[in-house]
Amino acid sequence: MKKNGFFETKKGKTIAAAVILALLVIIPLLMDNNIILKQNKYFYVLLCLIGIYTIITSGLDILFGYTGQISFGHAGFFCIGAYGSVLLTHPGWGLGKLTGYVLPPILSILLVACITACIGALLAVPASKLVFHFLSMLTIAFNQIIYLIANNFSWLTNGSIGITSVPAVTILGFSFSTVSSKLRYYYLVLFFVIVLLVVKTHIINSRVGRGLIAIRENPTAANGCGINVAKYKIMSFAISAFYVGLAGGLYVHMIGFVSPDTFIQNTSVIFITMLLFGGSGNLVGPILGAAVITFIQEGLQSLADYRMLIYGVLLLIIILFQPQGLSGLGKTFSGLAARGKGGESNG
Amino acid sequence: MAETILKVVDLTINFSGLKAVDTLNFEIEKGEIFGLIGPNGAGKTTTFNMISGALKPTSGEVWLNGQRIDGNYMYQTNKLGIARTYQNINLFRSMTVLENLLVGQHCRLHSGLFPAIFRTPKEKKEEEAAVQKARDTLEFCGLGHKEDTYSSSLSYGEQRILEIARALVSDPVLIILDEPAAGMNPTEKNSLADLVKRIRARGITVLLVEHDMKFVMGITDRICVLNYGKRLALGTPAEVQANPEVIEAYLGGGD
Ligand SMILES: Nc1ncnc2c1ncn2[C@@H]1O[C@H](COP(=O)(O)OP(=O)(O)OP(=O)(O)O)[C@@H](O)[C@H]1O
Ligand SMILES: [Mg+2]
Repeated sequence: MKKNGFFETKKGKTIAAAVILALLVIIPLLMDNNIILKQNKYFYVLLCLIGIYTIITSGLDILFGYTGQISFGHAGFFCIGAYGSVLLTHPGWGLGKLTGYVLPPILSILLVACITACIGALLAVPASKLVFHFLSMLTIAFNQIIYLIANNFSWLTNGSIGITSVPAVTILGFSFSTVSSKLRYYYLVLFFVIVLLVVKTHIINSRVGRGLIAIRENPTAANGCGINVAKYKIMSFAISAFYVGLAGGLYVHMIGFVSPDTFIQNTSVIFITMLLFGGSGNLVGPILGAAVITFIQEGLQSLADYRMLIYGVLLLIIILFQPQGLSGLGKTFSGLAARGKGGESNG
Repeated sequence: MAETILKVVDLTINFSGLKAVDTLNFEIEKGEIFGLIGPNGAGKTTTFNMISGALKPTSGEVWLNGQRIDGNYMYQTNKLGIARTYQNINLFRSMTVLENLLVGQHCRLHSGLFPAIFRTPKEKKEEEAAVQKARDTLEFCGLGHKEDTYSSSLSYGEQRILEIARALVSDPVLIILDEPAAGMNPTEKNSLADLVKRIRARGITVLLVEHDMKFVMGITDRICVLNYGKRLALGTPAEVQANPEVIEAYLGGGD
């Protein structure tokens, strides 16, 4: 088996990326001129959510898809990012309440991403020594602890009621308030999605990325090849947490409200589901998974009764017939086509 | 008198009561091809694991070029100049042949996370040089035509050669091969023997375990024979073959 296909070449990838990017910029702009769609603000929220979940699943992919480490606790990182950014920017809570000074949201989003990365690294110190099932339990416990802090430390987080009136992002006096224009926020999210996907690609195709993949493939051989396995696992956790923390910040300044129940254990499971659904260990899979699952979760609100059913059936189909996720469909089809043409020669 | 490159002193490991290796002593000279042989379960792989850092000895010492290295992890001994292969092949199976050799250079490359994220000119240059070096090493090992093949779809013999190539590409001073000829056909064994000699000609010392006696006797300068974790004999292939105790261990053991 060899690598082949136009979209696996560098030129093919560049062209495909450019086309998709152009569509992502232009289509919402056209829609904004359409009077009917313009009314339906929810459409943009959906696009923003897909962007935010894409960042999360891509971050999770670095840990799970590339390094081979499971986490059922990423909603914990999401929570830290979201609450962190509220506490740094809200005049009535956290930093604002204590000192009277607040950070501009855009700065705090970046800062909480770094803080989340540090917490990820700390969690990874014990996690790097654990195998699959113990790692699952540790990350579940982590999620639970973070949730309980958000829910019970009312002096800090306002408990289960949550915090409202989270300030909007403003860059150089230019407001990204989702009340006036959701399209703008979409572009802000799109910007972060693109930057983080490029960063992900750069990391994966580097000495560091090869180290991560080597750990997934064969930890013994990775160690023998000079890779400090524990250190690389910690790094992977930190990078992954950075992505999810940043997504938490973006999320909270879009919604304008935060409460603990967004960050229950179930949310972590949904992140994993998105990743498995779309396909892990590549660039496109997490995006597809985030998009499809978000559509099912949020887009089919009117079909509330059937939503979980559709969701379950789709998941079952993927697991049974397409274990590589949606992003593996191309390969499956080209495999089928080759078998049809070439007869036994491919066997 | 040749320089000693590796010295093993009273090396012992205890697996909950079983002394898999028991007060083992030997020295390997620079530029030698040194064989470690013995019946199944004699402790050869365990010895390799202690030298390479995969296992910590219960007692005893390992010295590389006058530096004590026991207690280091494998990733550290790799940087110090020991590279190894495995009895049960340990390749990065979903990576191509070339990518396996890029990972093999990990300890000799320097670019960390931030140079990678920003694709600094230095990082790009280093990566290009790494690809070139990987290609040269594959050419040297006779796998040049396979660089884009996934390592999992190589033949068994090719996988063994790829492991050697991956070890070689880290510029070791000592390369450790655990049963490199296992599963190879006679033609492949011949080219393996040739490869091992060419590796030594590059100034790299070779330590190998192998069950194929014809292969071992034909290629090594000296041999250490292990039995039940203890050293039974040490000498040139001719000396070892003439040793009655060795004959007893191999023939009497019913192997
Ligand atoms: N991690 C371990 N824990 C407990 N016992 C072990 C362990 N590793 C090896 N052993 C035991 O130590 C002894 C030596 O094993 P080792 O693998 O070193 O033998 P070997 O000489 O390489 O044999 P072979 O020729 O079959 O590869 C065996 O009895 C084995 O069962
Ligand atoms: Mg062995």
